[in-house]
Amino acid sequence: MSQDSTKSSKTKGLLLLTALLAVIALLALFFGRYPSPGITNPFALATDPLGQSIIFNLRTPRVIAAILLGMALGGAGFIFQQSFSNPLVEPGFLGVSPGAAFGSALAILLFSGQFFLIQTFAIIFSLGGLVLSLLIARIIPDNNYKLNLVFSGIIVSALFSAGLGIIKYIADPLSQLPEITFWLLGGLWSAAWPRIIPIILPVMASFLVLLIFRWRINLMGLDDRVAFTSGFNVKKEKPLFLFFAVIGVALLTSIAGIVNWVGLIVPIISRTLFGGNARFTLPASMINGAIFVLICDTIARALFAGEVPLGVLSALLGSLSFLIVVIFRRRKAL
Amino acid sequence: MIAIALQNVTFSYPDQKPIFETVNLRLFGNQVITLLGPNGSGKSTFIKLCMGFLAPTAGDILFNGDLPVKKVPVHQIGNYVAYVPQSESFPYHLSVFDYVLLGRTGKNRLIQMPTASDTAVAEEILRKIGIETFAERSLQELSGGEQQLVAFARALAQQAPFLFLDEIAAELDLKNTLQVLRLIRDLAADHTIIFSTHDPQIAEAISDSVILFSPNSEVIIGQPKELLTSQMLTKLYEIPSGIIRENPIQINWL
Repeated sequence: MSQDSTKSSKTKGLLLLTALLAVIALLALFFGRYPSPGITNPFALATDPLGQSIIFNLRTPRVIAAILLGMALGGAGFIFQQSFSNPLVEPGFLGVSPGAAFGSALAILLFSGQFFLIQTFAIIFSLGGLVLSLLIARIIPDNNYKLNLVFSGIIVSALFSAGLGIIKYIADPLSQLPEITFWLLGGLWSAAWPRIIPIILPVMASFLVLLIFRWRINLMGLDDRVAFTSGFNVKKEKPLFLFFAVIGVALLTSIAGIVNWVGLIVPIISRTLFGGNARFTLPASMINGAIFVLICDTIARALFAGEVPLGVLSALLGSLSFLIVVIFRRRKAL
Repeated sequence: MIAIALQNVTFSYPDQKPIFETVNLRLFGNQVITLLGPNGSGKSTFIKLCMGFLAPTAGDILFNGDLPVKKVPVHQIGNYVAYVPQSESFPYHLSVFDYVLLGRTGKNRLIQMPTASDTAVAEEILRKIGIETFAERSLQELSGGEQQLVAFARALAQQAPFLFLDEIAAELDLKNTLQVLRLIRDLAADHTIIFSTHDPQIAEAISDSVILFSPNSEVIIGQPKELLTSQMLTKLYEIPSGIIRENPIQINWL
């Protein structure tokens, strides 16, 4: 049967991507600028305590953070694009990224240099941005919930962007403003064990929920009226799934800052490969996101002696991939 | 057997004059019931009310004559109602087959993937409608008429007793129109089909009952023969009109 063969070829594709991710993760662990730029010799590590410490304490948590960040952005991006039927929507769209940016900038302004508070503020304001968007969408007296969400997302994002502008304007241009700017460019240089351990569990839990419900997540893309007669509670289930999609993004953004483009381009590439069914494309988008961020982050930390901001690299590689997809799109994933 | 009953139903959109005022109707089961009326007379709103998507401003709508629609939990609505809207926004780049399979979601547990029997139902329905050849195509690649056929297939996959079809024949070519109308006629053996159209000739050909929606909020139900008269249609559409009954071609339609 053609349905069965499609299913098994997509399952094989997913296994292949997972294997590719594992290989890239392993390579990334040994890739860097110690003892010299390039691959660290794994056999020399046995007698090199500094090398061991670099791999275990610096590179391993960073590789894990990159994988989780990519999974969160790729997965959430796919869910957002499907539920808004729009390939130009990304996970920060419902006030999440502007919320995180505003929250962290506020924390830098109030408690300069205290990373824990910056992380906490980023989480609170990004989830706050989402909740505010969902609340506003509920009170708009119109039955088109999809459009209501678009309106509320624009309103909340603009509000936070205005707030961020004010903070930048009053921030100390010598100490605080550069810190805000650097945070907004995004990067995983601060992803050490103590910072990622507290978020691993909730992030994994949110991934698990999304993956378990991935067939139902397809219903988010239906017309509201059709979704209703298919037994999907648009006004309750939709915000719930969007919330679960955004938890990972908010928690990882609190460490990585604003990393653009991943949540936009990765779902588009994944749809080109796997089609629009969340059953296969949600896990594919998560794995592809992990591969994309891992490659970007490895280049970011290993290419030059100084760190290149991850957000800059992801935008560069993302826009180039976007160009390629736009020119050579075969299965019309756009 | 009463399929759907409306008791003193009044409905108005916020800050607008009522579309329906104290409407009382009983729709009987295993029939094709056609909704006829000019643009903006409330046919689509009537469908949305009957399937529970909109709540009446006053009054009650009952499934099977005794179960208030508002008491049916949303996740069970699909066990009663399947729906094809006049036009719909389709899931983004889903294949036709996966979209039809989505119609089966309500039959399974919340986290369950479609089963082999769901796949079999979807395949059979695609064959029945004659669209099995584009099972793997993406929804966005289809023409308007093809999309309507696919939406009809998704609704049938639900195997719900009440089928609401809002102008399903609007974008179909002649062959597909006749094929769909024939299928609707067959389905009436064990479904209640509420079908809106702009074509009185179609209404005459397939309906057991007709509901007329006049611009002045009047709703009348009756047999096609008694309602689809030149006098009624002229009054309804405010232009001289009627149905050709003597044409022998028309008799062999379906």
